[in-house]
Amino acid sequence: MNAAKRRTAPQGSGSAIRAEGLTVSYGPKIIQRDLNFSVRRGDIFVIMGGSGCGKSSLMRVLMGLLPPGAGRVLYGEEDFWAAPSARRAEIMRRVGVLFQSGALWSSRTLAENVTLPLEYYTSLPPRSRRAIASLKLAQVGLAGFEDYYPSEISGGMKKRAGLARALALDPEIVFFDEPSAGLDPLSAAQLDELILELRDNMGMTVIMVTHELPSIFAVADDAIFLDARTRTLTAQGNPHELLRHGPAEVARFLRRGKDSEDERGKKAGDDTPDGDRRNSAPGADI
Amino acid sequence: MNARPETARLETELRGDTLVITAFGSWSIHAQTSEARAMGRAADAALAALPLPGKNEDGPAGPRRLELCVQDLAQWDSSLLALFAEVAGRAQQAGMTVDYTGLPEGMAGLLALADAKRESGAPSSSGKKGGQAGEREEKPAPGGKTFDPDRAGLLELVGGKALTIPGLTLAVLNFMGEVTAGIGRFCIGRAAVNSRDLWRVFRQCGVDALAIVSLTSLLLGLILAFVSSLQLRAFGAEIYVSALVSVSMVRVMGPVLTGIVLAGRTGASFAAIIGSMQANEEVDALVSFGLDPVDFLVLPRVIGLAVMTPLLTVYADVMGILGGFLVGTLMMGISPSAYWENTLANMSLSQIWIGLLHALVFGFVVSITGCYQGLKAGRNVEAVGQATTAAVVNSIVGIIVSTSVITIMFTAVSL
Repeated sequence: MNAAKRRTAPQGSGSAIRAEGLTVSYGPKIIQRDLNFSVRRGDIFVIMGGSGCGKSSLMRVLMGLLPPGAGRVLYGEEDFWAAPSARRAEIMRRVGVLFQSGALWSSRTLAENVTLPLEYYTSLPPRSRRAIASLKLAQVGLAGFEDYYPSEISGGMKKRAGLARALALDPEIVFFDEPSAGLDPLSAAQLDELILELRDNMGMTVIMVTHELPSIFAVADDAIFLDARTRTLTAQGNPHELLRHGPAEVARFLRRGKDSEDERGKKAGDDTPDGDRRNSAPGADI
Repeated sequence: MNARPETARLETELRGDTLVITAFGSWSIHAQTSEARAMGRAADAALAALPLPGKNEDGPAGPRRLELCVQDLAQWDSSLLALFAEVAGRAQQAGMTVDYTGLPEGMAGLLALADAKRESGAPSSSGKKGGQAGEREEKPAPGGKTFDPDRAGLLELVGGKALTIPGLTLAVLNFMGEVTAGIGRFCIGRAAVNSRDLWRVFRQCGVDALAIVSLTSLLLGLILAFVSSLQLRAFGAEIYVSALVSVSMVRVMGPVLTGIVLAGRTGASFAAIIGSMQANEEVDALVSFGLDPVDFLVLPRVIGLAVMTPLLTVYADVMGILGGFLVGTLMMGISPSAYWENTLANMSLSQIWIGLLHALVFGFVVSITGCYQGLKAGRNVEAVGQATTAAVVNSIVGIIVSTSVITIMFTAVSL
């Protein structure tokens, strides 16, 4: 993993997703209003903010699970929520989602979880589908776990399996809902590494909700900060920039994490990825 | 005060425009019943001494400051703290300033902390009420009251329930429309129904239900034969037990029994499975891949049950008739051939079709109810339980209602 690479400017050009005057609401209850931002292609884009400020709700609007109260979500130049439902389903096929809990389909094995979308959207024979599933699971460090059920693996492994599933259709955009929530610091750091590696190698755009500051500093190219009190966006930019030149409130939010990130950086450097392989060898968690 | 220093007690005193509340004795959340009662009485008295919120704005009357003090305090914990916090909160609402300087340091600190948290953490406009306890109930209601099912009177309760009916009806009709459209797509081969899921439903609600259906329908046949034989014997018409059992089994009892067994067995499991998937974001995961939950979760179950219920019903009919046959031949002394002939003589194909129509309708009722309840379940454990209960109850009500409708329909056309 070369550190220089992750700080490079975005490979592609133009915006992958753009929000225009977006209001996030549940019925009459407004969560966030008048959001304007765009996500550059190839970026790792982080939505941050204190708990309860509506990060996850905003993401549900962006990924097509919650209709917005007002405003538009543009995928490329296409207004997502104005499109007919068949077209929306088509757009969502180019999008992968890792849910907070992993949200694996519990009645299916890990391999079946990955092959299910392939079954519907490709004409590949079962053999090739299975091969793709094995590859995706291997990419997230779960080789050999193809025939395990979600209930038989640990929380961190579920997240990684969820990631493998999110990558099944080689998406252009991947959403992560609090990827490191509920993980120990080391697993969280490894997940961050994995996200960076996948982005660098596949060139996808990543949109991530998190309030894990070490994660934010480790992976984010660009970020927005949502404020719970004013119910709108208060800053956008690279977190390192925001820390130095951002609004006082955002800088204060970010500063709390700067020290812990430095510490974690040191620790993560000491551990080789082999440590993880050993821990997640088949059968180890059963 | 020196007589019983260990009893919790409050004194309120008005000094000029300052209301002073002083706590004495021992305040503990582990207090015995009698002491706890004394604490409660003291709290009520202290709250009664405060002016009502907003009262100070109208007139000059009432104190402007509140001072909280302690004296001879043997022990204190959250019981006293909570009371002081409540009193202070109420006083602040009434526009009074609150003075903590007479309190021990720790207590003042904790109260100040609660105040600060209350100001910053209180949900601003439309959120749930978490902060000032008692604010809503004690305030003289200015006309419009909010509806709270736990405290509502009978009239409010009935009204509140009635108001949900139009929305609910619309939601159910919408869902049925979606399912119908899905079945249409399935018929022309364009629905994304997973064949493996379909076969699994066939097995789970068909083959796996055979044992319980056999037992219940055999016993139902026995019971019908027994009960009717008592009446028919009075006329010397025991032979008609065979006709009575077979016709009632085939036309109504078989399908109804199968429907009810499936409601408890399969409908409940549909609601629980889909409800848990909803709670676990698994349904969202489907949508995020552009997969329609109706195609994927609902259609296999609806189609599976619509196919299996009539088949199970045929089986239940046979078992019921067998039950009647056992009673008739072994206990009532009717010869097997006479029993069989009488059964055939009174049976007609239309009875069987009517029975199968019942079964088909019940298959839809049970599966659609179960899936609907599961999909609309909330995202927590309790909601899954409620969905399961609602699925069974609504299915059974649906079965009885549709039986009545079908019976009336066919009676009207004399079939």
